[in-house]
Formats: sequence, structure tokens, C-alpha cells
Amino acid sequence: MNMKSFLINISIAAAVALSMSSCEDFLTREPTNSVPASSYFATENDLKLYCNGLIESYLPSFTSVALNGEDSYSDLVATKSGSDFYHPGLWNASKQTGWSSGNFSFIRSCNYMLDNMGRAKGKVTDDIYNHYEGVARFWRAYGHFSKVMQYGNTPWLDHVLQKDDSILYVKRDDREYVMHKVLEDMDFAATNCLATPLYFTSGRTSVNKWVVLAYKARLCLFEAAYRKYHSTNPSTGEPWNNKYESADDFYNECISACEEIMKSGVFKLHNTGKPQTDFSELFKSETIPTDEVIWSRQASEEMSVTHNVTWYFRSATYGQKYSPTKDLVDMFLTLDGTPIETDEVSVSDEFTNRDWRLCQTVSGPGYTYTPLTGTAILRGPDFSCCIVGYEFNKWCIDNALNYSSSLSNNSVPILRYGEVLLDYAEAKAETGGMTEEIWAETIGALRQRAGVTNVYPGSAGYKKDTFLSDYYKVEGQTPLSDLLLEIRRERVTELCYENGTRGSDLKRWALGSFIAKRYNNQGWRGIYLTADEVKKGFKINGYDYTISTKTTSTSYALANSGADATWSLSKGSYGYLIYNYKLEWADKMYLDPIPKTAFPLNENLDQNFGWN
Amino acid sequence: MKIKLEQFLISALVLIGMSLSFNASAQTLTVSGVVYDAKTNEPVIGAAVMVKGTTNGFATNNDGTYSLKVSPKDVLVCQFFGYKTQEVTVGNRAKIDFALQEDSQLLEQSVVVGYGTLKKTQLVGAVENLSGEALEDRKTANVARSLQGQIAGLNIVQSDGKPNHEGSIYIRGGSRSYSSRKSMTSASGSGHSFGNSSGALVLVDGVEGSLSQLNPDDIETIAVLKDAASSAVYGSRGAYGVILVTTKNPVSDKVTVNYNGAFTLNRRNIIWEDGIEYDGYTWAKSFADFFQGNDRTPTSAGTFPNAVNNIDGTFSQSYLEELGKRASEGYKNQYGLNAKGEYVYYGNTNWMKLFYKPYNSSMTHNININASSKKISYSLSGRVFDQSGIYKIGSENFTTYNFRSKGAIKINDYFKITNNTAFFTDSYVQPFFAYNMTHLRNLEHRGQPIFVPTNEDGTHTYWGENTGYWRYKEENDYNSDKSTNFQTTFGIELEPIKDVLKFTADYTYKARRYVGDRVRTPSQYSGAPGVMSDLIQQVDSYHSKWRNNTNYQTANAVLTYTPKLGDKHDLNVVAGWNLEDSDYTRYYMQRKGIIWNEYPSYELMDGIDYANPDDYLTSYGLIGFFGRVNYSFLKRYIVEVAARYDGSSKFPTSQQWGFFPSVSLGWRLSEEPFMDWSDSWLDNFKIRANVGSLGNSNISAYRFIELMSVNKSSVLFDGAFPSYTSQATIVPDGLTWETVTTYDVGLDLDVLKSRLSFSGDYYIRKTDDVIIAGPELPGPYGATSPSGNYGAFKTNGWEVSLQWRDQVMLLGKPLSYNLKASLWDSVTEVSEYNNTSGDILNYYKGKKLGEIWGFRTDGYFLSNAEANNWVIDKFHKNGNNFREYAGDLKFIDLDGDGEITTGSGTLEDHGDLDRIGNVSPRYTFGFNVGLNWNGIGVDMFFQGVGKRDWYPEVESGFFWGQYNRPYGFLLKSQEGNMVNMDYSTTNWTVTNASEHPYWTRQVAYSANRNVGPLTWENDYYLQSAAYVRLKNLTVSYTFPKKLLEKTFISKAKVYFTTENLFTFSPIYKHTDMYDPEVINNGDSDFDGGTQTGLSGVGEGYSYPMLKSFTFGLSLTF
Repeated sequence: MNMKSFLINISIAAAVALSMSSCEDFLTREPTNSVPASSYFATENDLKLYCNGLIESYLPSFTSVALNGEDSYSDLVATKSGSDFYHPGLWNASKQTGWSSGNFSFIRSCNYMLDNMGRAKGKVTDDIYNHYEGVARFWRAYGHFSKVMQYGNTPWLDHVLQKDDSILYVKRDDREYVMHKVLEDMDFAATNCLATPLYFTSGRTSVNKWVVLAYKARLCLFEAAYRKYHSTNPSTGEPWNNKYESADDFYNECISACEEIMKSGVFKLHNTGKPQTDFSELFKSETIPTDEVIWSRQASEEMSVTHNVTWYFRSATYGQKYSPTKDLVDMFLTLDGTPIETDEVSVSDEFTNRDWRLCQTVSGPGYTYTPLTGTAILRGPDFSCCIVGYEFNKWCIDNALNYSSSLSNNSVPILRYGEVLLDYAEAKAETGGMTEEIWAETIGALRQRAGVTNVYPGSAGYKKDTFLSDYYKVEGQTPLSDLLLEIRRERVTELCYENGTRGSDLKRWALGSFIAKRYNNQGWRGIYLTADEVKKGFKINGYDYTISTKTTSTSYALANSGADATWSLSKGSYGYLIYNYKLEWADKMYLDPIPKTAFPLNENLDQNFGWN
Repeated sequence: MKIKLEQFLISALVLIGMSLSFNASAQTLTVSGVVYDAKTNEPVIGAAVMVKGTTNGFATNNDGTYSLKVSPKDVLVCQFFGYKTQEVTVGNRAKIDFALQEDSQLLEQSVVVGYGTLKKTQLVGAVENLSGEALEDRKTANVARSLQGQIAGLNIVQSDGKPNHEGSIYIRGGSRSYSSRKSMTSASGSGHSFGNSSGALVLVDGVEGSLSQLNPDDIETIAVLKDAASSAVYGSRGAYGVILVTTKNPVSDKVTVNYNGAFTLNRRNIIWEDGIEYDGYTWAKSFADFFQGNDRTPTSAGTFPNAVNNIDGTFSQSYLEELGKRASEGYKNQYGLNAKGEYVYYGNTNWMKLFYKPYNSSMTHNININASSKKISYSLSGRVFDQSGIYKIGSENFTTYNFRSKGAIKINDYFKITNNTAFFTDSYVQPFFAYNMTHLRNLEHRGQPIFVPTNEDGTHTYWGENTGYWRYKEENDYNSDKSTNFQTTFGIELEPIKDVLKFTADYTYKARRYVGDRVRTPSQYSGAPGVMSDLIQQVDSYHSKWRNNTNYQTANAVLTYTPKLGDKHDLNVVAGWNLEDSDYTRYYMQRKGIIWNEYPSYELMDGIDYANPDDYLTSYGLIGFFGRVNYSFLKRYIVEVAARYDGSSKFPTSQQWGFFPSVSLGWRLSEEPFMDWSDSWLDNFKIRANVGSLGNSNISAYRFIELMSVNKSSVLFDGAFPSYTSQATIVPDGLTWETVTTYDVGLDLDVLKSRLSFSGDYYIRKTDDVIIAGPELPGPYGATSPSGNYGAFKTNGWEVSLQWRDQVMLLGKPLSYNLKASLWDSVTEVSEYNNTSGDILNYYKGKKLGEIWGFRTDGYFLSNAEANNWVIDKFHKNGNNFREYAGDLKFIDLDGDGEITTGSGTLEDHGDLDRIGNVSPRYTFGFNVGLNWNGIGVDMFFQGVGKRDWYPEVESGFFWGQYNRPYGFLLKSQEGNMVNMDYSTTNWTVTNASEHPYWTRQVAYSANRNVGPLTWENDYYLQSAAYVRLKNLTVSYTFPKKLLEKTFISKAKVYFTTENLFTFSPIYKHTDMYDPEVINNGDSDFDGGTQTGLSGVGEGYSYPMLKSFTFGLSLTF
């Protein structure tokens, strides 16, 4: 017996005498509130709990659905100061963050399950096993796709990495390879994930077959357009190598995913025949309309699951004074399905006879809210909270209690049937498969819900929207077809300020320059004011407003110069209210730079094209 | 209640005066004589010859003679510093000479060291003992507060003034944790910590304990073991020094009873209500100015506020005008209605005054009963301490009870059985109101003077509820912490060879039962006549409960061998064994939905969910073997070797055991024959040197096991929160002991019969194998790099203390006095850390802990023209432009690139940032003066820090005022001290530059942005937080024994003592709202957490330190 064990034995003897604790392991102790990892993943419940954890960590937050930066800093929303990313000369790889371990822990989590869940094989049925494998692979694809959207090329990670794993020290994988693997994961998930009542509940929180398919449609449409409208891989500046899927392959994958959902008949548009409110119910309700919503994040006042989205929109300081622009307002059709004649119209008048989604997106005449005390009253826009005179309505709880607190209790849709229809229509149109029937089933249905007469582009009664075609006109490029223009209109009017759709649409359509596009190269365009209104003041929704030298909740201060961050009128003494703000665009901005801090850690890491 | 200080002083003085006049004794004959040194036969000048029990005395003259009137029955006492005191009964003698013997006791006294005592001469480590007497008259809520500054190298970092907080106790150095801004672009707070806990180990009678649970009257000595050699026998627990508290043992051979009681008045060190502008109209004007300053540009006057802190419908130009009118009428009518029929207030409310009392009180009573006989000795003590709250509304109360029984039974001359049992309870109840913020920050956000707490119809206003005023006042919301602590130690002492061989063994069981409760009731307010609204809805009201139990056992066996080896050799051998076993369980639960505010029982609530259950056990075990040999030859050459072999359950089996040795050498030059020439004045001159290495196992218990835990989801799944788990924690690469190696050299010097003593130490402490995250891995790894023993840091420091003790005669009576000064300093530097990018906000190799990075400044711009010519500076936000104007702070372009930037915030590229200061306290000192004359004692204790910088963090509203948030405090210290601006042309100018106002242009949020001129550390607003504080002043009077002869009282003392009476600090130049000793964020007792940085809790929101005035009485029967 050596000295050490002799000493231990003495002590153990004493320990036994002292405490009667089990003696062999006086110096070996385990916690009581954790499970050793080596024995986890043995039961269905283990799998379920782990997948709950993936939702806990990675389900899009309320603000990333309703206040997504891709929307806030797109072409159709005016903000106080824009994103630093688009400020001239402000952004570079040193400012960039997002390539640290925390940003990849998501993918590691998925692989951790996929690497270890084999222990459950044989202990649960194959269906269950495959369902959970599908869920983990869905999330893994989701994680990689986020990286592709942000950085283009990105490493494909399909196992839990050890610290000396060679993958850590090589170049990024080519985007096309990564998307090929993403598609493989999505296909596996779409085939194996179940949509039985256990996984497809009224809360719409769990990942199931429908979530996978709808997300797959979004993802494929994104990649398809990216391949079509960009001639090169923006990570490298080199043409696409088309070794795996082509643009059309992705359009077709999108189409098939949409068709599977559409044919199932599980979902339909939330349409109760009340065009004035049906649309809004998707965004302002605690109980989400489950006829349309496929995936959501639930809020509940009773359970104290609330958020601050309304606060952001209704605060002079908390948010960016997000304000819909005139351009956004102009994109809404009139009720008979034709575009507006002119937009030189006062706020009080321009909501009349318009697509009912307009006043459910932007607060219009008759908009009411409940103040801290008393009953609902009319509300005019608060100029200190919106930068160009229009106020958002879409996500806002119409109660002042939410204006400076995190008490908003509206659940938010992450995926909904309306988007599936739009994805389907676009993929069909891009691949030449659009028909009047499909149109009626998709865009037509969305318009019909909003009280707008459905007019098929090109058919009798169709009126070309010159504003829209001018808006999308890009020098040196073939103008878009009416079909595509109308589909793009519909994506704005239907999906405005949801899930960052506008920002990612612009990027996939290679229209990133729109982000810095400004009215007359000046700034964001807001409400229209006549010379009289400028001089004497004007009324919105019963409240008095002025243009003066002071910015208050009912007044904008006009500046002599059009310097940055000042207000002016497009015609000097009248016209559109312009919030002068200059942003910059360069094609390298389709992707974020790889943060500078990442390079010392991997000498083979390559920077995105243009960011060096 | 308003009791004047003076009344206290006067009553104390009257008592003293009465007893001074009592000096009667029949003096019939005169006695005289000579006092001389028995060894040298030289006369002793200045020795006191006194009649015992009186104040009648004489100091010897230049020839050593004295003369006194006495009566034959009197006993003469002759005493002089450095000599043994002699007593002689006068009888009929007219001449009495005294031959005084040198008193070597001062040098030979025992010093408490680990597992035993050593003679001071044998000591070779850095050990300092403090007698319990030093704390006797300090009536603070806990002992840690009294220890502050008393011992060189002992750093007590107070967290705040709460009576139940003892602060953190560090020996040589401090905490290595800090919080900084998150990144160069985000001012949110981010915490950094490095290595295991570096706190000191506190042992009370050999058992791990806490200073805050001690009865100060029980303390015999406090020993501080500073270096590795002295704490080596404590191994892995004593890596950062040990504090040994020994409680009093029964001494007298009869029954004695001691009573000590005191009453204290406390006043907050900071009187916020006096420093904040609470005139409604003045505040409102300033609010509007600051608010507009936020987006003022040469072409725009800025946005006029339309609400205060975003609350609807209050503020406008016409409101301000109306408020001005009401103000001129003296705020006689503070109510109004707006167009929507909602209440509007025109108030002038000093919210702080509504919440805070000027004084609060505390009292303490302590009884100690001592009895001792040949076989049995026993002491019992009991104490109650009670402190009332600082709040005018809301009940706050802190009460503790101590009980201790300590005794020994002598079976025979060789065998003794001992028991030491202590019982302690504390209860701290505080008012509580959580609206996502700490209480004081909540008052900054919602306690604007223009609002009032009550509506005309008696209902509560939104503001009255939102500040917590009504929640406090109704007393249904509270936070309560209660604990019961029991501890008993049974021991045996075997002494087979008296004074040579001794064996002791003991076993201790200690239990702590903690109960925490927090109740938040629903609240309603009325915003319009007849309309009630919820602020905190019934579904959000809650009751949270914590139940924490600790069961701890420890056992020790120690053998001490001190053979008598003649004059030349002194040997002291200690060998022992130590075992520890600790179980900590914690339960937490919360239920929502209080129905009856007064009855927040779970059974009377209707929440559907018992939220956040928490139920866990942490358990660890430790086994150690230790030994120490101290040998001295010819009392000159001393060598000590100590070692410990420790096993801990916190490490994987293969790395569980560690061996920690130390060796020390000492040389007493004063005993060398070649130093004989100095014998007449040099008593002791010792040089010491030691090196030792210790392990530190202060880590959480299960770091090395791969675990998966289950939590409740925050995502709602079909109306419920399901459980979830996530990937297992990544276990470290390897995990072993953090090693702490200390090199210490020291010098002790005693001269002039120990009148003057000096002790100094210089040390280097290296900590290696610190557990930190491994070298950074490329991002795709997807997890924090596995941690391991990769880090290291180093502390350099020194300590000196100098003491002078003497006695002189004053008005024929001896005046003994002593002066003691200590000064110490240390700097901790990171020597190894994984920080590949060189991020300056994090630790990096070479970082001196506490350093502040910031910008250099050159005053402020006097005109826009001047600002226009300056470099590009995007830290000033004016309107939506990032540029600077007149009255804004002028940053210096250090790197000359024509732009003010932070670069990439790395060591290689830090733009214009520079190290502008350091927040670590330097040159810490303590200074004691003690006088004793004729029963009157005066003690003063100063304490302070010689150098310390502080940059007020984001959200520190008590410093930044409305530069932080425009709706925050308007500080009186800022009023009239801000730049005045002429905005009439586009070339703005500062009009009062000649008056050198300290504060820059009124721009709201300039100290409250991710990048803002004041958010960023800069040398213009860098504060010096050095200070000197009169920590304690005690005046006491001990009644003469003669006076008490006829009574049953054998000793009586009255005293008056104050804590924190005066403070001098350069910080007061710019702010009177901070206490330089404690600049802290609020604490987590109030919901809202302690997150720092933007939107977090700024500094100054913690419970204030107290200044106290105590009158006390001590009686012995």
C-alpha cells in the first residue's frame, strides 16, 4: 500500500465515523440536478427536451420577426439615422462582428444531437427517430442558411468539432456546395418530419413537416433568385460554377414545396370576409389565426410573455423613429385593382378607396388607440416618433400602455400561408409557369382578402403602374415583366416589415442599391403637403400639425439647407416632406465582411470579395 | 425623532466631570524615593508612581525621584513603559525606592499562527495580530466594517452600507473581476473575471466562518496570515491568506459578569435630498433644455419634449408656462386636467424626502458571563443588535442575536474536554418595489419633482405607484432574509508532557438555514378622475421563496511538540490532519397572483404556475495533511518548514491531490554578539525571508464532469413553458490546482524598550495555472474554447507599519499614548491570458488590473468655428449628425490621423485611446492615535486610500444628472456650473468661459449612448477617489475603582464613539453624491439585477454608508 492510499484510508475511516457518508467516494461527488451527458439521448423524451432547447435558443425573437433590421434599413422605411453599415465609409471588417464561437454554437448544438442521438435508435420507433433527426437537420440547414445569407461562402459543418479539427483551419466552403448540403438536410426533414397532432399544435411553435416545407420554399426562392440575378458569387467575384443545383433547380424545389403545402389543404388565408381587419389580425392578436399561420412565436399576457415591439415604434428615443415612406404607401393599389393616379395627395385623403392592407400597415384616418386612461380615441401620428409623417400600424398594439413598456402581447407569425402563395407565384412566374388560374389562386386570393379586385396582368382592365415600373427601372437592364412587377408589389404590400423580407428580397434580386436609393438623391420621401398646409398647418385624424422651426410631436422643423438629418420640402415651399439622409451602397455590401478578428485564428480564411 | 448630537456629548461630559471631581482619600503622610533601572542602576525619568485605585500620582524627576502624599494603607504602583509594573504597600515607610525590571513581554508575547501560537521572536512569516480591544467600542453592524484599515495588507471592500453585507475580504490585493463596456460600439456592461475566488479564508476558532456572524465582544484576537509560508498549513483553502479569529476564554477565577450596551444614531453619508434640485419649475426648464440639446443643431432648436420619460400626455410648452405660473404662486395648486380629461400635475415634490429619514438608530446589548474553577471553566455570552431603517416609509429592520458558550472540563492534568457552541440568527427585512429597476434608479427615472404621489381624491398617482412610494408605504411588499446558524465544536486536549507534547482533536458540525422571501403585490393608480388602471397587474404579482441549507462538518487532529532543549535551541513542531465535508442545498420557487395583499401565502394565490423551481445540491469534500517545524538556534537563526498535502473532490481523480511546501528563514541580528553595542536601545532587529506555494481549490464543484441540465423554457408552447435541455458543457482540457507562490522578505525592528516598532514586508505573489478559457479557436468551433490551467498573474506589493508607544505625566498623572501608522500597496498584473486579438477591454498579458482606457481632452470648444476646425469626432451626436459644436468636450487626436477613433480597440490599434488612470486603490493607509489619561481615553482612527481614479459609468445619474437622461436628477452641484450658450447665430459661443464652468453643453444622453462624449472614459471627467476618513473617534471614561468600591460594580466605563465622522476627498470637488469608500452599483436585493452599462444599474444606486454616533456603557460586576 502506498503512502497516498494509506492516507486516504485513514481519512475515509474518519469520514465514515464522522458523517456516515458512503465512504469510497468521499472525494468523488456528482451533482443532483444535472444528468451525465453520456447517458442522455436514450428516450423519446430526451429527444423532445433537446429539440425544445433548439427552439428556446433559436426560434426567431419577436423583434427579429417584427422589427427586422433588413426591413428597418431597406428602401421603404425611413429611419432616424440609418444603419451604420450603409453610412458612407463607416463600415469595415474591424467593425464587423459575428464570426466568433457564439455565432456558430447554433450549428454545434444541432450536430451535438445528430452525433449523439444514435443512442436512442431501437429505443424509439423509426418514425419518431427520423422525425427528430429531421428536426435537428432542419435546424442545421437553418443555421447554415443564415450564414449563407450573411457571408455567402461558409464552412459546412456536419459534426461536433474537436478543437484540433482540420475544418477549423481551412478556407470556407463554396456557397453552392453549402446550399446543396442545406437542401439535402431540408429534403430529409421534409420527408421525415411528422405533422401529427403531437407536433402540429395550435401554438404553431414546434418544428414539423409544414414548417420545414414553408421554410424550404423561402430558402429555395432566395437562392434561386440569387443565382439568377447575380452573375457572380459575391463571396469571390467569380461566376457561379453550377456544379450542384442551378437557379431553376431551386425555383422548382420551391414550387414543389409550395405545392405540397397547398395541396394538403391544411392551411388557407385568414379570411373572414372582413377586409378591414382580417389582415391585421395576423399581427395584432395574442391568439394567432391558425388557419394561416404555419410557424409562430407566441406571446401571452397571462403568462407574462410580452415584448417591446410597440415601444420601438411609438418612442421618440427607444427606436429609430421608423416611418413608412411615400414610396411604400404608393405601392398599395386602389380597391378596383388599379394603381393610384397621383400621389400628390394629403394624408387625410390618400387612404380612401385603397387596398385595405394600407391602413392596416400605416395608421390612417380613423385610426384609434386607448390612452393610459379612458376609452379609445383617435390618434394622429406622433412626429417625434416617426420621421416622415407616416406612422406604422402593422405590429402596434393600440394601447398607450405598450408605448413605453415591454407589455406587448401580440404573437408573431414566422411563416404563414400568405408567404407560401407569394413564393409560389414568384417561382412560377420566374420559370414561365404562371397562368391566370395560378394567379387567381395566389396573388388574386391575397388581393381578394384585402378587398382589392383581382386583375390579371395583361388582361383587359389591367392598368400598368408607371410609378412601379419606374421604381424598378435599373439602367442597362431589361425592364421587368408586368407579372414580376405585380408580384414584387404584392410582396411589399403583403409582407412589409415581416421577417426582414424586403431587405433580403432586394439582395436576392440584386437590387441592393435601392437601400441607398433616395428621392431625388436627397432622402426619404414622406407625406405630401400643399403650400397652404405648410403655411397654416394641417390636420391629420383630427389633430393639428404644423411645419415650423421646432420638432415636436406635432411639428417638423424645416431647415434652410438639405444637410443630412434635416427636413425639407421637395418643391421648396411645398411638396413631399423629405428627411434628408444619405446612405451609400456598394456591391460588396450584398455580403457582410468576415470580421477582422477572425483572421488571426485561421490563416486560410478568405475575405469576401471587395472587403479586403 | 430628532435627537441632537450635542445632547449626547453634553450628557457624556457631565458624567465624566462628576466623577473627576471625586478624588477624595485621606492623605496623611508623604513618601518619596528613587526609581531606577535594576540592570543599569540608572535613574528612570518620567516613571509614574501612583496610589492604586486613585488618580493620585507623580512622575519621577530628572534624577528619578518622586514624592507623594499617601496614607499608610495605600498601595503604591510604579509603572513605566518597557518595565514590569511594581506594587508596594506603603505601611509606615517614608522612603520607597523602586528597582524596575525590564519587561521582555512585549517581545516574548505569543502570536497566534496556524494551528497554534509562536513567540513573536520565533516568527518568520508575515503575520499580524490585532487584539479584540481594538474593536471593543466599535458598534458597527458587523466586525468586517470595524476591521477596515486596521491591518496593513488587509483590504475590506465594502459593497454598500447595508447592515447585513460584510463586503469582500482580501489579503494583499483585491478582486480580479471587473465590468467594462461590452465593445467599442456598445456601452452595455460586460463582466470579466479571471481565476478562482481570491478572498481570504476566515476561520473562527479553527472553523470556517464569517466575520459578520461574530459577536465583536467575543473576540480575543484576530490574526492575519498574509504570506504563503504562514498559511501553508491551510493548504488549498488558504492560498490568498487566512484570518484567524480566536474567541475569548474564561480567565478569572471567580464569576464575572460584563455588560456592554450602546445606543447609536446613524445618518446617511450622502444626503441626496439636499443635493438634488427639487423645485418643480427649475427642474422642468432644465429638462426641456437638456432634451432639446439632444438634437439641437445650428439650424434647429431641437425637439421639445412632449412627455417625461415617454409617459403620455404631460409635457408641452404650454404646460411649462402653466407650471411657471403655479410656481410663482408657491405651488399652492398642484392639480389640473388636460384636454383628454387626464390628470396633470404641477408639483414640487422632494421624492427623496418622502422616502428617507434624516437619522435612523441602532442599539446593542451584550452580556458576558465568565466562571472558572480548577476543573471547569466556562463562559457564556449573548448579544442583540438591532438597527432600524433609513426609510421614512416602509419597514426596514435588521436584527441579530448571538449566543456563545465556551467551556472546558479538566478530567486530570493531562486531559481536557472542550466545547464551543455558537448560535447566530439574523433577520433583515427591507421594503421592496421592483419595476425592473433598483429602487434608487427607479427614483431617478420616475421621481420627477413635477409629479405628486397622491391625487386630489386620495387615489394614488401613476408616479406615486411607479416610484414605489405607495408600495413602500403600505408595507405589503418586502424582501426578507433570515438565517439561523448553529455551530458546535467538541474537542479533546491531551497533554502527556506538560508544555512539551500536546495532542488536540476536534469535530465540528455547522448548520445554516437561510430563508428568503420576496413579495410584490399588485398596484393600481388613477390617471383620470374615476378611472383606475393597473401598474402591476394581479397576474404579475408574486411571492418568491428561497430556502438554502448548508450542512458542514470538519474535523482536525493536531500534534504539537515543543521540547525543552536548553537555551540554545527552540523547536516547535506541529503535525496534523484536517477533513471537511460540505453539502449545500437550495430550493427556490415563485408563485404569481396575490389575491390578498396582506396574505401572500401560496395557498391564497391563484397563479396557475409555480415558476422557476430550483432544487440543487452542491457537495464537496477535502482531506489534508499538514506539518510545520519551527527551529531557532541561539534565538538568532530561525528556520521554518511547512507543508500540506491536500485532496479535493473538485478535481478529476487523477488530479485530486496536491502538495504545497514552504520554507522560511529568519535572522535576529540584534542577538548577535557583534551588535552588543546597541543593546541599550535596540531590542529586536529581525530579517525574514520566505517562499511558499499553495493550491487554490475555490472553484465550483463539478467543473470536470460533462453534464446536461434541464431548464424551463421561456418560449411559450401551447400556453405552457416546457422543459428543455441543451448541449453538455464542454469539460476542461485538464483541470488542476491553481498554484499561488509567494516570495516575501520582511524586517522587524523594535527599539527604545519597544517604544518604537517597525515592521515591513515586500512580496511577490505569482498565481499560475489559473483556470481560464483556452486559446481562442476559430468561430466555427461553435463553443468557448475548453478551459484549462492557462492563465497567470502576479501581484507585487509592500506593507509597512510603524508604532510608537509611550507614557508621559500630565498634570501629575500618567498619560499613556500610542500612535500607529500603516501603509500598504500592491499592483496586480496579468502575466498570461488568452486574448489573441489584444482586446483592451478584456484581460491581456501585461494588463495592470484596474486600468482605465479613455480619451485625452483639452477642455471644451468655445465656438462652433473652433469646433469646425477640429478633427472629425463621431463621439458627439447632435441631432442626427455625428459632429461637435461649441460647449462640447474636445478630444485629442493622439494618433494624429485627423479623426477621433477607438481603432479596433486592441493593443495594436487603439486609435486615440490611452491609459488615463487606474481604478485600483493604491497606497491604502490606516492611522491610529490613542490616549489614556486619568481614566479618560481618546482614540482616533483614520483610514484611507492615497490614490484611486474613477470614471463614472454610464447611467450613473447621481454624477451625470441630466447629461445621463434628461428626465433624471437635476443636481445642485451642476446648477450654475454649466457652460452658458449663445445660440443666436449659427456660430454658437460659450458666454461664461471666464468662469470656467465644469460641465459641458446641456445635451441629454451625452453620458448615455453607446458612443457619446461622456459615455467614453476621458481625462476631463476622470475623478480622483482618494480619501482620508476619520473612521472612528472614541472618547471613553473609566470610573476610578475607588468610586466603585462601595458598589457591586467592579469596573465601569462610559464612552461616546462615532464612525465615519469626517471624510476628505478630491471627489467632493465635483460631486457630493458619492462616498469615495464605496462607489458601487445597486445590489440585487432589489429586483432588476445588477447589470452594468447602458440601461443597467449605474454607480451610486447602492444602499448608503452610514455615519454613526454612539453612546455606550460597559459594566463589569
